Amino acid sequence: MSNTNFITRWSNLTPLGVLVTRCEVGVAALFLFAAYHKLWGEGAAQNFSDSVRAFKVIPADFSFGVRMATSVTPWVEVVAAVLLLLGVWARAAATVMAILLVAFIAMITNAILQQYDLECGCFGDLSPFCPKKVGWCNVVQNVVLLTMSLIIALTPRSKLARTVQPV
Amino acid sequence: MTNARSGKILIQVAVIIVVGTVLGVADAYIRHIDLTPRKAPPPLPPVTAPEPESPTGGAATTTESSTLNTAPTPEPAVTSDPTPTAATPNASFTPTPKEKLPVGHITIEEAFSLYQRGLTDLNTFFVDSRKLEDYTKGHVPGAIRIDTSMFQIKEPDELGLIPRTGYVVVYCNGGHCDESENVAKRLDGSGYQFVYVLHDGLPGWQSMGHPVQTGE
Repeated sequence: MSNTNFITRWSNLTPLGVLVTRCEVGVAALFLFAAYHKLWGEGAAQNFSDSVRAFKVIPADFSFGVRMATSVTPWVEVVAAVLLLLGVWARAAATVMAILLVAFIAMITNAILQQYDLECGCFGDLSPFCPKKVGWCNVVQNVVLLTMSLIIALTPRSKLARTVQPV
Repeated sequence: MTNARSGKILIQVAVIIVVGTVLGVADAYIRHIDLTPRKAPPPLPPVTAPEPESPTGGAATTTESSTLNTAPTPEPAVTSDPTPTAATPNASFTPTPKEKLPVGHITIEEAFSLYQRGLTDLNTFFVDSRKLEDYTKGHVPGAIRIDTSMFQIKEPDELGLIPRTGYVVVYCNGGHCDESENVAKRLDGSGYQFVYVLHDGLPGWQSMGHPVQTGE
């Protein structure tokens, strides 16, 4: 893509295109932020593995499963977020994020219904939007992100920009 | 056309997941995460007959009291509400039987026995692994608040108050919380030998009518 086309793309966005672009930047930034705090920083991976175990979705004695979930989840988030920011395979990246978010929502809802006392671990040790203890706020947060991801995933790229008339 | 596009997106989805998985697996082999279960701590000391509680519900065996107070009869840590009060017993509560406890976990009665023993030997320490807001609402008298986030960069300063040879009872909110187990594991790693998890947590402790204290 030439530089001119890139600028043309951004300056010719339809209202839907503006919405989708904002969703792309917002979701990608949040996923990168989340992945960063699960992967890097002192003790981040250990704390995230504690969070994964605390949800009790994977049997506690199946340490290989916990290990893989701890390592693979944030890396899938990184790959999807980077592609989304670059505008490469954006709909597929958003679909991956939607799949992850549906899984997160199911796990959090299960934890709330089972009255587990745990922290979300969604953003590592941080909890920028909700109380640290997992609760319905985390579900709402993920539903909002899921909605944004679905907007991106379901919108054809052809509807993002106005047709540029040849001069 | 739509089907072809959907198929293309599905392939891209698969590629993204595969790439993320490959990176994750590589990461799993490079970075060390300790997932080994805790080793069983040494058996608890013999249970002695509990002494009668003081009218205020019993004094605490606390880090503060045992390290800052050398008097043989320790006082509870001074907090916004320094007087421990006996919690109202909950008749419907059934403590988890000993045979159902995981490795390294103890019953409420065993914890209470340690608590009472600590009144005289000053060598028992309760660690509250819950968040500050929970801690201020009520905790075992004199309990020190330590959670896993405090271990991130270095050992928390609070560990300086607990001798490595001391008996440590870690608790959180009972059977459905893992934080006490996680903190116990980190204490194991910090060189503590006698670390036990109060399986039923503070809710169980309160339900049995044992003393609690509020404030920081």
